[in-house]
Amino acid sequence: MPYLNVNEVESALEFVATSFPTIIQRFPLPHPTWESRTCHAVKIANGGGTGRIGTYFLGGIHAREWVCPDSLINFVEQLAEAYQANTGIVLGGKSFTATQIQNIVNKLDIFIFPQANPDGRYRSMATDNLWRKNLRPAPADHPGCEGVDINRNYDFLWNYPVYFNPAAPIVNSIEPGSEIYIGPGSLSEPETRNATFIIENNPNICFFIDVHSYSELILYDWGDDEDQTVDTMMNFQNSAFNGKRGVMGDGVYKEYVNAVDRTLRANLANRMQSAIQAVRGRSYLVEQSCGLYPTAGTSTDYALSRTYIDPYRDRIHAYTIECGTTFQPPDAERQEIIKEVTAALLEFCLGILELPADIYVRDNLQDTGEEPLFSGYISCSPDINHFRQELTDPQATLGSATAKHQDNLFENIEKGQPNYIYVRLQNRGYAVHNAEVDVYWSNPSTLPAPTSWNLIGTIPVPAIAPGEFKVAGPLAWSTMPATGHYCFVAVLGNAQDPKPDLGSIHDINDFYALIRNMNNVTWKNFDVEDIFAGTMQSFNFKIQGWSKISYQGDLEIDISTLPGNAEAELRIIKRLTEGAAGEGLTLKEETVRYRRYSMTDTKAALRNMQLKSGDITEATICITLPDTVPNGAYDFYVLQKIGGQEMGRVTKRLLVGDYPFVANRNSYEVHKANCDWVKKMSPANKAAYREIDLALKHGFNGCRYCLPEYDNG
Amino acid sequence: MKRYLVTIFGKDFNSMADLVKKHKIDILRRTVKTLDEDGSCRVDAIMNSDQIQILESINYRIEIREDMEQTAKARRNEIGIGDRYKLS
Repeated sequence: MPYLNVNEVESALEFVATSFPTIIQRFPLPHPTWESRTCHAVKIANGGGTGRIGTYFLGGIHAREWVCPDSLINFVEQLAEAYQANTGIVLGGKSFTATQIQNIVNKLDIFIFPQANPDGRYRSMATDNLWRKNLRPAPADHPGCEGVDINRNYDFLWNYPVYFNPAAPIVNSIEPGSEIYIGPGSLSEPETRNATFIIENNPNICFFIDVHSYSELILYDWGDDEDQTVDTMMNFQNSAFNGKRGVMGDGVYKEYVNAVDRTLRANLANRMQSAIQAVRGRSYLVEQSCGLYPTAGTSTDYALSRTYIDPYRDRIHAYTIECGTTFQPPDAERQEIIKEVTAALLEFCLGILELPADIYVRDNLQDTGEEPLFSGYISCSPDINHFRQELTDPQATLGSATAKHQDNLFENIEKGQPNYIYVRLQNRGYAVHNAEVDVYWSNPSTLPAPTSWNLIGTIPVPAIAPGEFKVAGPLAWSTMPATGHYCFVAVLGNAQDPKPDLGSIHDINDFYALIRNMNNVTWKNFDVEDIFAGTMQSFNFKIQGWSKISYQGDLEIDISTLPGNAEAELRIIKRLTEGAAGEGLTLKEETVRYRRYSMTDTKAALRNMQLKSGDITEATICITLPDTVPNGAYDFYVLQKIGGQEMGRVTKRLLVGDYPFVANRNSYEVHKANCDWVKKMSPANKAAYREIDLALKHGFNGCRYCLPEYDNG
Repeated sequence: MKRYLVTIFGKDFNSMADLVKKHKIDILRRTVKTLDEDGSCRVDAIMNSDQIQILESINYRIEIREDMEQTAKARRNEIGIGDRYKLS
């Protein structure tokens, strides 16, 4: 059977969409090519809804690689026909059962864009069989130099002279006449933008294969340099490495890749390799994409990089298949290669369906569940949410697209009544699964060791689908020792991914690994305080040691986001300051047991505090905001380091506002904000309240003048 | 000018890197391989006769695998005519 010409590829898509309308949708891509062709792609899926994983197969980017679009058309046709007839597929020595075919179509969304460069393919088939690029017209200053290499035009290190070592043998060019010309701008080509359109508009796409020829290879991970799984800061976004990328073996730069994800990708690649080999015995090599010759601006690096550019975008596992041993094999060989590619893609789909769930809670708003924690702070989980009243519709309140990006959805705990705790979970894996969440409380501390955790209870969480943002709870808690601020810890697990064994946490290193390397443990040491401008607030927290081990640690205080003329003081047990080096602190007062320091810098520290084994001491930070501070939110934090590594922090958010009620901590009266008595109140005694009921519950009595109805004498 | 699919043999990785950096050869980057323990390498490329001559003169060994013009003629006979999906 001859190669499909350009028109036939498009007609094939129309044909399958018409023939199998319940499972195939054809859709146009928005950007006409330079020769005004409109491209189409298809989606194969039976059913819809949340939780479906998407996979995307792209072909025809390089014009001279004729067999790739044909392979993808064959894949679509065979899959659809077998699904409708409820049969299996046999590809040489490789077979797929009817059940497997049904599962693939019933459970996945499969996007196929087989011919992304029809202009180039037309030229290649008509006049110049070695043509590779698209047909962008030649620039005026480079007559005769038509075309851009689409697979160097993506937005990944596109402007490569900035990013790469000049000595790197990168296979990109800024010369319009080159076969590997990158184009006048990133994503300048309509073909590139069509290819990315599918990714950008289908956020459930977690897998991507760009089919090329030739070399009999299956490639994954980065193409710009060697991979490494250790240093998260050595990555394509870090400009400190500009001019250093792309020289293999120099040890200067290697592209960070998450180890767990890399293993997943390798396993799927190996499955494809086995499937191809089963067809007729050909051995495709599985390896990293880079090799000797690095690249920039490729489709797979673009896809892989998306989750690092946008942490809210699920990661995409990206591959290149280089099929066959020549660009335009004769017909008999072409037929075999088509079988091999089809087998690889079907096996790939089956592999996706067998991947596990990975349920996690976030350590901070930027946390994507990647282990170890890639960015942002620990102990700032936005996903432990507590309220004084049970929520009517917790999923709506806490699980909306807006709420997902908020870290202040909670109320301070009130003693003497039930408080309702919710936990928000996500599934970054690929299968529906359940979870069970243990919730603990401890006093606010910069190092809440597990020995200080107190179990509140366990929340069972039924099925969480891939990509789902689920609100679990409530867990009712009534036995807290006092009203105020608490640290909460959530530990979750299931049969596939068990809860960590807290009994195995013996020392600081174990604790550090627990909190930073496991995405099913999180803690929230983050509070919000309503405060008036011009008032003083005191915040108590624990500085904690470790059972049976003494060590040296640093305490760091950062108030740099507070208005410039805010004042801060630290009150701390004297013993911890002896032998410690102060930075940004001036001693103001000293008693037998305590020292009080004022902060003379917005970032202050006590270095090398000597903590005894089992140490738990209380410290206090007092913040005074000037009268003139505008309403708004101001965060500051105190953190503890051991060996230069952060073990935890307490974060406070001060919400400066105009609150309706002002309580006096000295007289224990509460007033309306416009009461004359408020003007006479010392700033140090003012407490802000949004609700009168809460003030009354905290023991304040109503002012006889402005709140007589709440005056009990 | 006629173009050929060739395999270029060089003494080491640096000689392979030079193909891109110095000589601007249209190499097929995925085909690069280290051959032996002596570090010699090979890679496929598309070159014309002039390019072949230049590389041979600086001690690369070139094996011609395909005359791409002949391949083109043969393959063009294997491209569908019309639109088979619209005939039925």
